[in-house]
Amino acid sequence: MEPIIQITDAGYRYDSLQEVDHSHWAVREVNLAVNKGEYLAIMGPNGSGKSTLAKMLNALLLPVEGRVEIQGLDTRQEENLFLIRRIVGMVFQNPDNQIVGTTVKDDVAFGLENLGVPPEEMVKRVEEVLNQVGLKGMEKSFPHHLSGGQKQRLAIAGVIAMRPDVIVFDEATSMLDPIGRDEVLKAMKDLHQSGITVIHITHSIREALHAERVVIVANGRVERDQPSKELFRQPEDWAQWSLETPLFVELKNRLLKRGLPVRQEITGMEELVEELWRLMSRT
Amino acid sequence: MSSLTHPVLGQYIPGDSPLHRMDPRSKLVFIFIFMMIVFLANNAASYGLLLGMTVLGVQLSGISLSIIIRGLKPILYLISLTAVLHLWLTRGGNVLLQWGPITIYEEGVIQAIWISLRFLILVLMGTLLTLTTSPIDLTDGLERLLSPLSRFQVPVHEYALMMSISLRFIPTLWEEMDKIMKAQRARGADFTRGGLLKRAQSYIPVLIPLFISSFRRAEELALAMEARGYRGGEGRTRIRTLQYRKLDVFLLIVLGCLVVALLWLRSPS
Repeated sequence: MEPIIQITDAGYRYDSLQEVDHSHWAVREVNLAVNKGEYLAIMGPNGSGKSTLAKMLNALLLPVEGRVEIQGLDTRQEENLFLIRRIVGMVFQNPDNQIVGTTVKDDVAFGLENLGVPPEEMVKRVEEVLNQVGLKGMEKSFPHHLSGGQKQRLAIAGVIAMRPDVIVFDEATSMLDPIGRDEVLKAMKDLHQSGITVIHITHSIREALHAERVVIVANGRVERDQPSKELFRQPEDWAQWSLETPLFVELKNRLLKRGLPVRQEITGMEELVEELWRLMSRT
Repeated sequence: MSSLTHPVLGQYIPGDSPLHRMDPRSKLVFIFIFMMIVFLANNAASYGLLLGMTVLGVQLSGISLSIIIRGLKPILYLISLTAVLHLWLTRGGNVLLQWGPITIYEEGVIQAIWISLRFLILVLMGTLLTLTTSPIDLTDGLERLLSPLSRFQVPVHEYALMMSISLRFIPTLWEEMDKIMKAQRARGADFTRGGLLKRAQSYIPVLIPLFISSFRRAEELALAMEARGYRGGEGRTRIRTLQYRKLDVFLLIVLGCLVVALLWLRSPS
């Protein structure tokens, strides 16, 4: 199967940092393929280049070297831009700064208006997606009356109304309270189940664990790219990428140090709890 | 914050009156022409007709008179000032009063009354428009009325989008300003004491962060708009559809009758 997103040797550096010094490349020599229907997390600390990478996925930033292709369309070709933005939707970090419309309905319709969808069809789709994200009956509400989680769900509604194949969440949960975060994470899961390719950019390992596959980016390079289950099997030095060690990994390591025969393959908190119960009932 | 809690002159009041239900385009056209034909009136009959229309409009808007009068208060000073100036400066007709250097002529009294009436009618009608039409509808109506101008390279769509984005962000920026003011107060800033200049100065530490964050917002919003496929007004459809109804046709007929009636009633000059 041909991947829906194919990144080949891609690099990007911001204009203001145009020195030959390689350390200033925000993204460097990235190779990444994303398959249709995948749930992928791109994880990295602040300044790792993960947001730059995200913005290269729908041609908001164009690679300075290498190529980014979306369904075979090169992002550097201007005539592809409109099509690419229909294929790859994007939800940003700040809930307030991505809502254009004066009311909920207007905002969901914004992307559709850009696509030139006829008004009758638009009304239908707006209703449909508002149902889908759980904002039914709020068509006429003003954006500033919504909670953070609702605003992000509104942003998601605006994106899915355009029926994209891929949705990139660029740290879309980092400015939310725990309730809002759970709402958005659930929306991601639902989208993935409905067949949309979900790419979640995050610095939180806990959130990355929801994904099927995790890509770790540090200093603009891809450091790891593997199924999330595998990633936590082998011992990793998370601190080398300025990432926090996941709680269950930390706990597992300390238990091992104490001489408890916990299995190395544990990939989540629940499994660890289960393992502890198992060990306890054996003694 | 006061503007969000107290009624200001012409701030939209939601409702379901005939005036609310009219198409913003026909309201705009009506007001535009009305403001011009007000100047046709020059005697009791013609002013009476205009005043009658205005009172009828207020009645139809379903908005209580007290709200409208409260909103008019600041304008009343302006009206009284113009009236006094006319009383004092207009010459002609019999002298009604002579008191020191001030002479008041008959013509002056008449002019003062007419000018105040004209002013009042203009302001009231304008207020009625904004009281019964939400800013969003107003922007929308304006965009559509002016859209023929885009053929002459006038960026009508862009201006309308700028308007609606401003409307969208006013509450957001209010909230932010409130937050910054609280933050500065927590650091010992005082916005209430001192003279006018001092108080104005105390707002600088509020405005600078507000400006900086507005620029950042603008940048992020532009990016988000681009990501959602925005590429200007071309080939764009709209979810808000406007439709002329019977009420709108009626309004325009009334307008036509009004013009004819005014031309007939006014005294020839």
